[in-house]
Amino acid sequence: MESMQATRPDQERLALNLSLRDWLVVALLVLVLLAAAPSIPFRPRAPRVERDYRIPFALSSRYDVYRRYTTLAADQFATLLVGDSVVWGQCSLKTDTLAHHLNELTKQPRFANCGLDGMHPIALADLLEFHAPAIARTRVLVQFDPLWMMEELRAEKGHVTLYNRPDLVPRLAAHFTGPFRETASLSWSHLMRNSPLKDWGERLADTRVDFLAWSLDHPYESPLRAISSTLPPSEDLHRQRLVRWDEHPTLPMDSSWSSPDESEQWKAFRRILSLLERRGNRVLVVLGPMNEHMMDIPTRTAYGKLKAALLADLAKDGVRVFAPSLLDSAHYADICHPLGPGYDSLARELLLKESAWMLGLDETR
Amino acid sequence: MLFHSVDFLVFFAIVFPVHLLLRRTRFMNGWLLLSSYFFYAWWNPVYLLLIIGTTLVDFYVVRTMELSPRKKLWLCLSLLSNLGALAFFKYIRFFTQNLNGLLSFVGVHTALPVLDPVLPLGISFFTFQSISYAIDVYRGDFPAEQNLLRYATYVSFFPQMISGPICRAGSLIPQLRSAPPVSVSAFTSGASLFLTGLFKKVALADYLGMYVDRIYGAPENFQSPALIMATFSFAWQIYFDFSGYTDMARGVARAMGFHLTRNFNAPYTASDLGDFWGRWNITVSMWFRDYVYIPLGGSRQDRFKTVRNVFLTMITSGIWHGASWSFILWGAVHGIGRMATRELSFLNSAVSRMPLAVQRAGVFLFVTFAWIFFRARSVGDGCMIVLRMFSSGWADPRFPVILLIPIAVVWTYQIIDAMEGPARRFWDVAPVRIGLAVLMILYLALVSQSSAQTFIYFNF
Repeated sequence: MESMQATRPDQERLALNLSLRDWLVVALLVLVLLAAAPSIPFRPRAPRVERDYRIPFALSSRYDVYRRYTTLAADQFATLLVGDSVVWGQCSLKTDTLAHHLNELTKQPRFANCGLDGMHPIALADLLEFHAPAIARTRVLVQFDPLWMMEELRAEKGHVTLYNRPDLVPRLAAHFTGPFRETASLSWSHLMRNSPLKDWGERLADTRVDFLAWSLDHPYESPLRAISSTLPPSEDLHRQRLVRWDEHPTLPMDSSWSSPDESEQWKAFRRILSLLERRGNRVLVVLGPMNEHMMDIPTRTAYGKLKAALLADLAKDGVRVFAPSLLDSAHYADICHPLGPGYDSLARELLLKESAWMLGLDETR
Repeated sequence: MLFHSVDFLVFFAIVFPVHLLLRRTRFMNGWLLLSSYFFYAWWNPVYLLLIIGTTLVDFYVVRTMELSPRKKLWLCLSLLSNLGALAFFKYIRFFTQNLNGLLSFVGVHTALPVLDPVLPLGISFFTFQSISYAIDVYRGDFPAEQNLLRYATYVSFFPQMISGPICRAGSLIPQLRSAPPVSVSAFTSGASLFLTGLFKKVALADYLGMYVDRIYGAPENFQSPALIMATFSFAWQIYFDFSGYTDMARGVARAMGFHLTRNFNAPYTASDLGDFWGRWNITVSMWFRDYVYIPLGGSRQDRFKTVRNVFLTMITSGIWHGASWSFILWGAVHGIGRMATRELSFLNSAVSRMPLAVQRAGVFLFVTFAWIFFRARSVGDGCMIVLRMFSSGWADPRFPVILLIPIAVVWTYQIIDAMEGPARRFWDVAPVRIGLAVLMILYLALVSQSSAQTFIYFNF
C-alpha cells in the first residue's frame, strides 16, 4: 500500500501520441484504403454453392454473408426460396429442408434455401432491399408465415426490425443504446438509406471479415480460410428440436390474429412483393403451413378467416399464391415449423399443384 | 452511454463545440453539467435523481462542516448519505440473503424480504468521489467548494462518472474553476488516447471475452488446459477492458482540456503486489490507501496491526467490487498475497534476489490466479475451477491460436516501453505511429465485432 504512487500527467508517455499532421495523414490513408477496400478481390468467387447449403444458424445476423450467398445462388439455382425459419429449416437438418426435398423430387439442384432464422416480414423487407440485390429477375418462392400476425407478436411500426435486427439498416449504421434507441436507430436508418454513401457502405460491408466468432469453433485453422472463403461452411451446429410437437405436454394454442389492414407485418410483406415486382422477379407466395392441430377451436376458426382474407388480398392484385394443405400432425415440430417428413409432403404438394411454376414451365410456354 | 457507440459520437460532436464556445464564460460548468446529466440519463433518467440528491446533500453538508466546530458529526452525515445509498442499492440483496441464511442456520425460520434494486450505473465511483471530497475538506486538505454548479460538475463530469478514474477534488475542481485551454495538441493527444482505448476494448477485450465467456459459462464441461487458458485470457480481458475504458475517458477529457488522473501503468509488469496495486486501477487503489488503510493506522504500527490493516483494506476493496462472496474471497486472496510478500521482503531471502523477470512472472501468475474468484459466477464455481485445473484431464483447450498474437504484441510493447533505447525510440517514429493508427482503425472498421459490449467495471 505504501508503495503506491500516482503518475503525474506530465510524466506520462502515451503508447500512441499522434500530432495534428499525423492525424491528417492517418485520415487520408484510412479514407483511401476504405474507399479502395470494396474493390479488392480477396474473396475468390466459389464456382459452386453446395447443394442443401443454408446460412449457418450462428450467422443469422451476418447480412454480408447473406448478400454473398444470394449472389452466388442467383447464378446457380433456378429458384430461390426466401422466408424465415420455416424456409431455413428450424426443426430439420439441412438435408431435410423444403429446398432439399424439392431438389430430391425434381432430381435437379434447382432450389436454393435462402431462408434466414427469425426473419419476420418487416426484417425480410429490409434484408431483400439492402442485402440481396443479386436476386433481381430470378424466380423467388417467398413464404409468408402467419405466425407473425399473432397478436402476441404484433409489431408496432418498425419496432420489430430494430428490436432483433439492428444491423439490417445499411451497414454504416451502428448500435444505439439508451431510452431513445428506437428513435435514434430509425432516424439513422432513414438517413443512411437516403445517403449517397449507401452503395459504398454496402460494398464496404461485403469487405468486412469476421473470423473472431469463427475462430472459436476452428481454433487451429488459419483465419485466412474464414476471410478468403466465399461462404462459411453450412454446419448443423445449433440445437434443434427434431421431435414432433405433441411429444411434450402442450396446451392448445389460444390466440387472436391481427387483421391484414392493421398488421405491420402484412404491410411489410406486401412491400416485399412490390419490391420483387419492381426488380422483375417471378414470384410464388406460399402461405403457411401453420400447425392448426395445435390451435384450439376459436383460434383455428379465426385463423381460417385470416387465411381466407390474406388469400383474397393477394388474389385481388393478381399475386400467384399457394396455400398448402394442413400437414399430418406428426409432421410438425411446433406451431409453424414442419419436420423433415412435413417438408417432404409440402414439396410433393407444391410440385403437384404448382408444377408449371416450380419447374419453370410457365416461362417456356 | 458507451464511449464506443454512435450515440456517444453524436453526443460529443454536439458537446465539444459548445464547450469551446462557452469555455471562457460562466456558462462552462452549466454546460458540462447538463451534458453530464444527459450522458447519465441516457442509461436511465430516473437514477439521475440519485446523483442530484447525493450531490445536494454533500454540497450543503460539507459546506456546513467546514464552518462547524462539530466537524466529525457533519462528516458522518455525509458518509452516511453516500454509504447509505451504496449500501441500499449495491448490498441490500446480499445482506438480506445472507442474513436469511444465517437465521435459518440458527433455527429461526423467518425470512426477511429480499430487496433487489437495480444497481445505478457508476454508483461505486461517484459515491467514492463524493466521500473523498468530504474527507479532504474535513482534513483541511481542500476548501469546501462554494459554487454548487461547479461541485455538481465535479461529481458527475461525464468522462469519468461511470467507471472513474476517481478524481480528487484538488485535482479536478481547480480545472473546472480555471477552464483549462483546449489546444490542438491536447485534442490530438486526447484523440490518440481514445483510439488506443477503443482498440483495447473493442478489438482485444471483447475478443478475449468470447473465449472466456464460453469456458467460465460452464466450467464443469472443461478440463485443465481450457480453464487455464480462459483464466489467462480473463486477466488480459479485464486489463484491456478497464484500461481501455479509462483511456477513452481520459482521451475525451483531454480533448476538452482536462487532465484526469492516470489509472493504469503496465500493471502486469509489476515486480511485487504492492507495485501491482500502484499500477492497477490507481485512483481506486489510492482511495483505499488514503481513506481506509492510513486511517486504520497504515504501516506505522506494529507488525501485526500493519498486516491486519493490509488485509482489511484488501477485503474492503473486494467488497467494493461487488456484493458477493467471490469478490470478498478475491480481496482476501490479494490480502494474503500482499501480507506474504511483505513478510518476505523483510527477509534477505532468495525470493527478493530473484531476477526481475522472475519476480514479474510470479506477480502476474498470482494476480491471474486471484482473478479466478473475480470472474467465477460464485465461490463454489471458483473453487471448482481451481480444483479442476489441477485434477481434471488434459483435453484440447480449443484456444484460438490467433488470440495469442495481440497478447504477445501488448506484452512486448509494455516491456519495450519500460526501456530507454533504440527499441523504445522505434515507437516514436512517425511512420510507425501512423501505421499503427491506420491498422487499428482498419481493424475496428473491418474486422472487430459490431455488437457493442458493455464494460466489465460498469457492474461495480
